[in-house]
Formats: sequence, structure tokens, C-alpha cells
Amino acid sequence: MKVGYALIVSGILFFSACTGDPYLSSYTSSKPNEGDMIGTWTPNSATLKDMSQRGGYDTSKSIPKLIVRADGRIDLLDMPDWWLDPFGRSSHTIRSDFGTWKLKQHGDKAWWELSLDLRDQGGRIVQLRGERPPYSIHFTLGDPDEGDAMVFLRTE
Amino acid sequence: MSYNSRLQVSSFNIPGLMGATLSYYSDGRIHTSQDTIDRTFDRAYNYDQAGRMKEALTGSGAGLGSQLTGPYHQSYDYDAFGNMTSRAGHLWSGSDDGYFTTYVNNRDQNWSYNSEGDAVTQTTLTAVFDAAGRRSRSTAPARHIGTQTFNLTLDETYDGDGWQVKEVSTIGTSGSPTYRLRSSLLGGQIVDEIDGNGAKATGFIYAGGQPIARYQSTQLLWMHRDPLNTRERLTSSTGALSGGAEYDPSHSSVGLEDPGPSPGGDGTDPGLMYPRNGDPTDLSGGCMIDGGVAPCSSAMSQVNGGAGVATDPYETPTTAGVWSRSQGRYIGVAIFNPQASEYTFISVTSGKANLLAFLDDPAIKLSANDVQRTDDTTVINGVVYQIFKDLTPEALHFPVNLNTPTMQAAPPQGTSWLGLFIDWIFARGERDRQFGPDEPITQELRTSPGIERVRADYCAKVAAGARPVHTDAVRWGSGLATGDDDGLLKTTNMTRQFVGSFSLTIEGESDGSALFTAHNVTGFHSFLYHLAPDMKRGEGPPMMLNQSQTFWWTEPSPCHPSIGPG
Repeated sequence: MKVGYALIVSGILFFSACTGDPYLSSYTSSKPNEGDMIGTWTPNSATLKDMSQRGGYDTSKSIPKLIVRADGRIDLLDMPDWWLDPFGRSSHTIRSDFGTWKLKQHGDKAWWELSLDLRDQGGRIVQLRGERPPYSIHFTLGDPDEGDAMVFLRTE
Repeated sequence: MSYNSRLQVSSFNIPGLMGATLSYYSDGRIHTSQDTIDRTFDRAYNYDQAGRMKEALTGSGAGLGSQLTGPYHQSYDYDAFGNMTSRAGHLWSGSDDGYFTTYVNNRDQNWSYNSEGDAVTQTTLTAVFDAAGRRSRSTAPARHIGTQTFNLTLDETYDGDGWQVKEVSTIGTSGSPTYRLRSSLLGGQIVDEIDGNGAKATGFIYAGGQPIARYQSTQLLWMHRDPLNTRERLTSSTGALSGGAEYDPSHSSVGLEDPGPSPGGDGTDPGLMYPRNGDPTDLSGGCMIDGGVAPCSSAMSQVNGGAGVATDPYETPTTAGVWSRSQGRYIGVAIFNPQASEYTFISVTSGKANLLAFLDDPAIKLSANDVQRTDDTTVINGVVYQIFKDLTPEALHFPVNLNTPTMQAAPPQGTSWLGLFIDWIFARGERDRQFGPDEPITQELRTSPGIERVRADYCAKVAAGARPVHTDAVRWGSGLATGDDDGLLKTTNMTRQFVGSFSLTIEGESDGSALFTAHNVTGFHSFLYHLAPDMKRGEGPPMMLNQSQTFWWTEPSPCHPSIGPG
């Protein structure tokens, strides 16, 4: 019986083509203060490098910017389009959008994330990382198992 | 024109030119302006607790029921002293330049000042002031005018009364002077503008101190402005509309129509889309896009920047068709010609077709270098196509309204997770695959508990009045962590084990039904716990190269538990 169970588990492990979101353990599990969300967020250096090298975006012309306001409004400026592509593929164009944001818990008792309602894109979810300020905002690109993401840090 | 009880203008109308119904906050500030001529120009304004404008919205953003994209959306922030610290937003379909700054002693820290307190640099603009403190020269190396950028220098000369009487605009190295003849009787108002040759370029006519008409290129143009000073329309002496402008809250002209998004891309055109089965009456096979396949409505959203293909091109060929993401504009309409049994591509840049190309080859990606035209042929990627001149849309036939595609079940391919796994191992078959609602593999994936969570989020947003489109990811993990939607130890279902995590989009239809689309990538990178590099088809040995799966289904009433997913 034990041998059979081990075979089943081994089979599952072997045939599982995806190993999960590598950032799962880094998402924010303690409820953050809303005030720590307010401000202007820009990509970290690794994201800018990834945008330029892998995404083909010209980061010398424009840098994405996320403006999170205390009254619930949010602006997403010059965002690379691979965030909107279901497979995280780049078409080398940038888009802006705006709408509202609110803190939300993933499922019943998991991590905390930002739930966005945007004029053009509708509802979108982005994750928070870190257990205390300064947090980072994590934009998953395509299938989470691929581990591709953009990370924004609060700069103002 | 009518007024409310406070004698504020509540509506105005100039038949055929401009009109709006206005509402105000209780403190008298303007709240909304619903345009009665063109709902693109609906406006709404929001203010903070100090009465400072914090948001200006137009079109659909104004929330007055218009579905049209307005010319701008601007948000403002202020410091405690009322200085504007940020302005961000959108200009038509593109983003506004925006402005962000801080102040010390009421001085903008992005600017520098001379000893008199004049701003001599304003970000990239530099200014020179004369002894009387009047700006005599300003230089803006990257001045935005419309959608273009210019190196602009402005030289200004003043008379003894301090009125500006000469202005020289130099773009690059080419300058042109304008002399301004002013009237003492009218308190210094400009009567004529005279060019460098001494010819009258523009003359102004006033009534009650306000300009009401102008002569421009010998043509008399009547000037019409609304009570809020946000719109201007010009009419000729016959009453015909002859241009105009729309203004934002800072009274900058935003134009009357969308100049198009900012150019970008590499010159190729990945935005061509057409039914995979080669027949627009049968969308069951999904649609080809970017060399891959996706549900047609999803593909339409991709090629059309989220809006979907608007209407039947047979009816309105200028507003429907194929959207080029790289060019940022419609480049044509794809039309099925039953007589030729082939697709045709009609450029929408002219009323009549001037280009015919067959789009049954997914390898076709157009760029300027790919297309060579003669009078009778077009050569695309080396393939010669015949040009049929002067074809009108009426001469062709297009029976499908792409706005309401009929999503039908794709014929089951009989592919199991094991078949996909083996295909991935040996890098065989299509890179992008689509599985409709009748596929057993789709039905197995639908048992993932994460879908239930995303559906609940979608329904909560719809119930709150949000737009019925919601995108999230279903995350797969060990199954032990609280955040795992699904996981290794949560199920023995091998389809769910094989797929792992995926992105999920739920798009609601007007009848309450919703299209669910799940996107998943199988790759060497994630298979080896991100220790190995990503390997795309064509980039590595023919094993374990990335392949993607799209699973889609519709639910007639996803937010109604009794007749929910079946």
C-alpha cells in the first residue's frame, strides 16, 4: 500500500508540468495599513531591466507609474501591455488606465491584495509583497507558474 | 438658454453646433455637463473638501451614461497651501504627460527662479525676462503640439504700454513673425494679426468686449463658445460648421477627435485576426491571432484594444475591422468573399477598397517592407496577390456580425492531459491550443476550486455595478498553504495537476451570461521549479518547449447559484 501511494505521488510529481507560483510565500499575509498604499509607485530596477530586455519596451522614453490615492482613485500610467496579455506576451506598446482600488483578502484567510476596477480593463487583481512597509506591488504576467512579474516600489 | 433658481445656466443649445445640460454642486461649483450634440464631450468635475478641483472627467468617465471615450481625464493633487503637486490622466486613448512636483516657500522645485522671482526654467522650458520683468524669450526644446513634438522658441516684443505687439515663433530654425495691432478704444484688444509680409492674417470682431467672429484667410468665421468656456465652434457665413476646439480645465485645447495612441512597436503587425476554420459563419474553431488561436471574442478584444470589433463591417466599414496594435489604428476590414471563397482585406483609409490580400496564412504579418504594390498586384512576404480596384463593401458579402459572435463548441479533439504532456515533452503539435466547453479536459479544469473564488469576486463586482469584466489568476501550489487555490495534495485530478496555475478572465454579456477563458503555459522553466531557463519554440532543442492552452466555456448565469455552472 505504501509503495502504491509512493508511486502515485511520484507519478503526480513527474507529470505535473507546473510547480506553482514561486512568489506565493512572499505575498503579504498581515493586513497592511491603507495609508501605506497611498503614493506613487514605480518599477524596481530589475523590472525596468526585464521590460527593456525581454519585453522590448523603451524605458528611456517612459516609465510606468502607479498613483494610488487616499480617496480610492488610482491611475496606471504608461503600463507595458504584457501585463494585460493572458500569456504575459509583449506587443511593445504601453497603455494607461484609471479607476478605483481597495484592499482585499485573497480567499478567506490568505494574503492581501489590491482589487482594481479600471475603466478599460475592468476588474484586475495585483498582489502585495512583504510583511511590513515598505511593501511592493506585484503584477503577475500571464500564467503565475512562469514566475514572470513586474514589481513596483513606492517612490513618493 | 435656460437658468436655474440661482440664475446659473442650466442648459444651452445652439442647434447643430453645441448644447448641454448642466448641474451644479450646492456650493455653486459646476458638477456635470451632459452634451446634447456629442456625448463624447460629456463632462464631470469633482472637488476636494477645500473646493479644489481634484478630478475632471469626460465621455464615459463622466458617468452620465455615455459609452464614448472622452478627450481627457485629469486628476489633481495639492499641498496644504493649495499648490498643485500632481496632475495625471489621459488624453484621448493615450496618457497625458502628467506633472509631479513639490513646493518650498511656494516655489516649484522643478523650476528655478531669478532674483525677481520670475521662473526662468520650468522643467524643460527656459525663459528670459526684460528689464521690466516681461518675458521676452522662451525656449521649449520638446514642446508638445497635438501629437507631435517640436523645438519651439518664442520671442515676444512689447510696446510702451506693455502690450505684446510682436511674436516670433521659431520651430527648429524656421521662424515666422506675427504682429498684433491693438485697439486703445477696446482696451488693448487685438484687432488684427499681421504676418511678416505685412498681410493681414487674422482680424477679430468684438461685441460687448468678447470676440464673436474673426476673418481668417479672407473667410469670415463666427465664433461660438459655451457658458463654461469649454467648447468653441466656428461657423462660416453660411452657417456651416468649420472646426472648433474642446478645452480642458486649464483651457488647453484637446482637439475634437482622438489623434490615436502613441506610436510604438517594431513595425510588424501582430494584430491580424480571422476565424480559424476559414469561414466567418463558423467560429467554433476559435480565431487566429498572432499565429495562435483563441476564442473569437477574446481574440477580438486583443486586436481591438479591449473594445472588441465594433460592428458589422458590411454596415459601417469605417468603424469595424482589423486593428493594428503596432500602428495604433484600424488598418482594414477582413471580409469573406464567397465567390472567391477567400478572405479579403480592405483598407479603410479610403472609401473604396484599394488592397486585397488573402488572410488564410497565419504566417502573414504585415510591415511596410513586406508589402510591395504595383497597379495590379500586392506582394506580401513574397506571395503575389491580385489587387481588385474600386471594390466597395457592397460588392462583397459578410454575413457575420462580429460584435455578437456565436460561441459554439469546438469539435472535441480528444486530447487528454497525457496527450498534452507527451506533446510538450516532444515539442510536437501546435504551440497554442484551444479547448472549448465540450472538451473533457475543459470540463475537468472547471472543477478547480480557484474558479469558484474568481467567479465569486466577479459576481460581487457586478453586483456593485462594476464593469462585467474580471481577470485574476488561479494559483496552484502544494495544497498546504492557505493561499493555494489548488495544489499537489488537493486533488488527484491529473488535468488540474498538469495545468497548475492559470490566468482566468470572466467577461459578462448583456444577457447575464459570461464567457470564461483560462490561459495556461506549459514550460520547462516552471517544470523545473524555475531553475531552468524558459525555452520557446524555435529557440531550443525540440523537447519541452513552451506550449500554451486556452480553455473556454460559457455559463448562462454565473452569478445565480441555482442555475450556475453546469
